[in-house]
Amino acid sequence: MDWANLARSLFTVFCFVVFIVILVGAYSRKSKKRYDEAANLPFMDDEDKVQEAESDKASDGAKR
Amino acid sequence: METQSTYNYKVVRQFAIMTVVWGIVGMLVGVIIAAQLVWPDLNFGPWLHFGRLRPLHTNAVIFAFGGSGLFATSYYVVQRTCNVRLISDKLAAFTFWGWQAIIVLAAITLPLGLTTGKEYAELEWPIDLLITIVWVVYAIVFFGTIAIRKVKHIYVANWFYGAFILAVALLHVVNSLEIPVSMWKSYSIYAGAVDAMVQWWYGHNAVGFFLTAAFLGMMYYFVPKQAGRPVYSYRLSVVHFWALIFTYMWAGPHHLHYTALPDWTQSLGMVFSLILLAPSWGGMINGIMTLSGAWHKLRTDPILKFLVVSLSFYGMSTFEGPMMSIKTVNALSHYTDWTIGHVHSGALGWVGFITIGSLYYLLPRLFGREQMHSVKLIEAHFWLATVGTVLYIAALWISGVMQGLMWRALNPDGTLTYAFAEVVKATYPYHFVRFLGGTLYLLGMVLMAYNTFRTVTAGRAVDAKIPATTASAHV
Repeated sequence: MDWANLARSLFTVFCFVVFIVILVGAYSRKSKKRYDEAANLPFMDDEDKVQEAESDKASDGAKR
Repeated sequence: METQSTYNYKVVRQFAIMTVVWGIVGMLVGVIIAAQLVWPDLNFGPWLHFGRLRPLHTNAVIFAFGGSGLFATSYYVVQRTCNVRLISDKLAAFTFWGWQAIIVLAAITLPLGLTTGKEYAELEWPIDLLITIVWVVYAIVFFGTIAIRKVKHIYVANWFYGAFILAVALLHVVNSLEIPVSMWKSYSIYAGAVDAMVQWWYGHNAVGFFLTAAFLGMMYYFVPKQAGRPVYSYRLSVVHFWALIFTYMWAGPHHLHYTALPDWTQSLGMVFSLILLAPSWGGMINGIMTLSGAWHKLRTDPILKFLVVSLSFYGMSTFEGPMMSIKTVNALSHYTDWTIGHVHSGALGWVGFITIGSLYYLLPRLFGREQMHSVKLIEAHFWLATVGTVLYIAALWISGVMQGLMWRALNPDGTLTYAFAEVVKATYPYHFVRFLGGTLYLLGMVLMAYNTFRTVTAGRAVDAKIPATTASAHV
């Protein structure tokens, strides 16, 4: 039973570590471009895409 | 080749229409049982009394209304965000007819008193088997479509829908393990405290994955679409997803505080329920902040109102839930109307509003219209539903806290201050207000049915073309 309990504790720690890794991964700079693309997936096929794209470009231009 | 160039909207249309139909049926039964609690004379005969109609109500609103809404939106979202038609039209059609058959069987067997007695898993073993088959086919259609996607990424809404499909399969199979003794009677393979724990592991994860994760999938597609801007933070949505998945599985024991369940299990359930506040509010903030810069749209767009108010109710009930899971609070709230009020703030406010909002977005697009027949009626529906929900949950908060306080009141000599019947009597006015709130909510759904009917008859069924995208996400 002790071994089973140790395995349970280790599994909990493992889950926690995995979550931290996900957290770090999600907020790392590397994911930025990938996520930006993914976030725009609902708009790739849009009827009102033109309008959206224009306003997006406008805000991009202002930043630079 | 012709079928390859369009999306399969047929199955989406079928499920979307049935969502409205089952919504009215399920909520009507809800109003009837609410009336039975106010006027007990309304319990007619063995088939239509409260005890048999109540599971019919819960099954109809959760699995028929909510379930059909999830099938409709998940099939729509997975196609639109993967830029590909469903992997199989035949299998998709099978899930539609199979799911409707399950609902009809439930509507027949539950009033007849054929039940396993497990809450939200009442259906007997032959129906359980049918559910399993339909669900596996659903998984094949959904994940198969993702597998043949024409874009690189899997949009976050599909992660939520996918988690919902996998988790519900696991929950349903484990909790429904039973030994049949006749055609319509079976016994669970679990016994005693283990049975209770398995049941509420199932029960709370039905809330977590059916009524939360899946509808969050809806939220992550339809809120950005209706607001016309991408989700506030995609990073947060990824963290939201995994945090929710990691914590929800362990929260079930809070349904069994102060029972025969081991004490440590109860405390564990309470702690995980408290942790759940973080991902829940992370998701709510992510949804609401998607509107930043587009708040003005809220003034004129009743569909957006439905979607945003649904998130407000989501935030409210996911704050209330963890509080109620604290053992000392639960000592007051458990077995009272407060619990039912809490469930309905989630069910009417969150699940109902997000589904209704998404359907109002979806229906015109499925029937080749610019928008619904009447936007004014959507506005009216919004206010009926909002006032109805607020009346409902406020009445049951008061009634629930009152019940809890009256049950625990003691005289100086240690005897109970109130007889049980006195508490029942004191709840009457609040149960009437609850009946009123439910009626308003149902009335809103009737407006929706009329609006849907006019939209459908004036439009025609269309299958949108799959656009050739130039997006960089394209493989």
